[in-house]
Amino acid sequence: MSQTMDLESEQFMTLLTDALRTGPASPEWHQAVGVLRAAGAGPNVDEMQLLVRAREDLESGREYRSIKAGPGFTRKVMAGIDEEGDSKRRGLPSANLIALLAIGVILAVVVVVALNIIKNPPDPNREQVDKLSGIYLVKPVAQLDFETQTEIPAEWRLVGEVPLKVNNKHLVPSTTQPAKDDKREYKAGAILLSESVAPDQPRMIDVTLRIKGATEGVIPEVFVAEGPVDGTKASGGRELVWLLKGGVAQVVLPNLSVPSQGEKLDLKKSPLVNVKIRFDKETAIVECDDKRVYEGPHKLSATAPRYVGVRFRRKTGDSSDGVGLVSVNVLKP
Amino acid sequence: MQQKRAEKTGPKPPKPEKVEEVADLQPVALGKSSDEELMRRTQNGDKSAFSILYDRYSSAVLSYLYRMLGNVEDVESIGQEVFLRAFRFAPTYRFPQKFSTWLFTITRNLAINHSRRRKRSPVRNITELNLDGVDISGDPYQVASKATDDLEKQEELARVLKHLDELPTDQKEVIVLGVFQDMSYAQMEEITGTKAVTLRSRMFHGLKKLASLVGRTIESPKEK
Repeated sequence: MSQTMDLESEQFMTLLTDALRTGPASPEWHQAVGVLRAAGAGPNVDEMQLLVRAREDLESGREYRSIKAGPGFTRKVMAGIDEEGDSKRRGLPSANLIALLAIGVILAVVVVVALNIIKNPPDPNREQVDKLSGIYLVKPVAQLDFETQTEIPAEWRLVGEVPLKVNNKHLVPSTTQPAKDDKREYKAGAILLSESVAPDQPRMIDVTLRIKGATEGVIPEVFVAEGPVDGTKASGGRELVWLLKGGVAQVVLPNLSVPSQGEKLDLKKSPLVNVKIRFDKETAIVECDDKRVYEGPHKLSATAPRYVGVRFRRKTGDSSDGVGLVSVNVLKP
Repeated sequence: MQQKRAEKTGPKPPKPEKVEEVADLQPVALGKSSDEELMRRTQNGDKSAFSILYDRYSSAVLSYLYRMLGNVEDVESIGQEVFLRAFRFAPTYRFPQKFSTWLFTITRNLAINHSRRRKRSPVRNITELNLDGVDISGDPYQVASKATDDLEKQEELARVLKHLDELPTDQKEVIVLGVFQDMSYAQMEEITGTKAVTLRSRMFHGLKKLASLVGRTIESPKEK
């Protein structure tokens, strides 16, 4: 089938990209090639013909980097599956033995539980943390990777007095100069997800920063804010925050309390720092380089929408360039 | 393969209705069950159902990882983790989402996390992927020589495949998922969280870069 179509139209681009995906022998391919034939000759057509040829080459090379699991690999996977299955449901020997064991176990459990309840009332926080841990947050809501991207898409926005710019595969805060009558030591700039998160929805913000050495000139922060974020101050009032100052990582709760002393990071070992804040309606788990640094109630409002993002607080006049954002992902179940 | 592609690219199927829970799973020939049916069985603890899913998708998952990451050691460690997590978190799989979309979302996220960790502390694992003479087709010239006897065409084909590895990651990923893994733009949108219009643009620009390697002189297109 051949038909005329403007090669620069959106209609043809949709057809062409469908054809490039599905490949030779698909209906879209025949249609796209038919349109190119009908278009005759010309530089546009020649370029498209080369595209078609490159796609045909890929089709011929479908086996490139294809790989099949060897028996050793399959054995390892199946052994792992068996272990997972066994840990969920242990095989039991016989009905009689099961019955006898069951009676004994039930009695013992009842006694133990009763004693435990009397001595240690159940910790609802622990249950909430375990529940949040069990949610598999894997679906991307929005992603940014400055190693491959230079533009910031519309689902993210930049706020604050400190401009943020993409430089050398990072998002970095620009230097700010002190203004007359402005005695503030730090000013801030942030990148945040434009869309808010409903308070009853579990989410995870997963951030990778590059930090070249301990500094107080730039303080990176990963935050979950209750309510809208102020466009000038780049903060949302009440927030759950992970921050790194002078090489020491800390978590700060919305009531400004600091639940633990903070941990000095070994930045010489690696300049990349990964931070994950996982949260639902009431609970948060904060991890830094896969180590849990906080788990428990986050004390954010149970009704206000939440905003997530990354902020840089920059000391006025500081010009150090050792801190940058490499990537940020927001994930949902 | 033509028929399979024609089926995949035919008129859009209606949105699947919500599937009711099946209280009593009758024994059926598991090999003929759909992916989604096998996952339901897996959610009920049926490991043999999951092993069939593993057989169906292990090559696709490992090939995707090899094409994106480029080294076999990483493929082994992540590949195992993909299937262990898929089994462990089977209860989180929700109908009627396509199983392949769900599985590749797990695969992609593990690959991304592994890449970041690897930059910080490179890890080398012993690979068991190529035991017993299993072929790993990582050489573009080898693949090209199997595809055609024409030496000029072999050279072109090898050039295109080699430069596939050098494309920017986002363009390479769309080509790997869309061309090699036969994922639709809608599936890729779900897996990557990137809008279909952006994915189409990446497909076009990625192929355009490879097209610049095709025939250094522009020839008249030949009829096929």
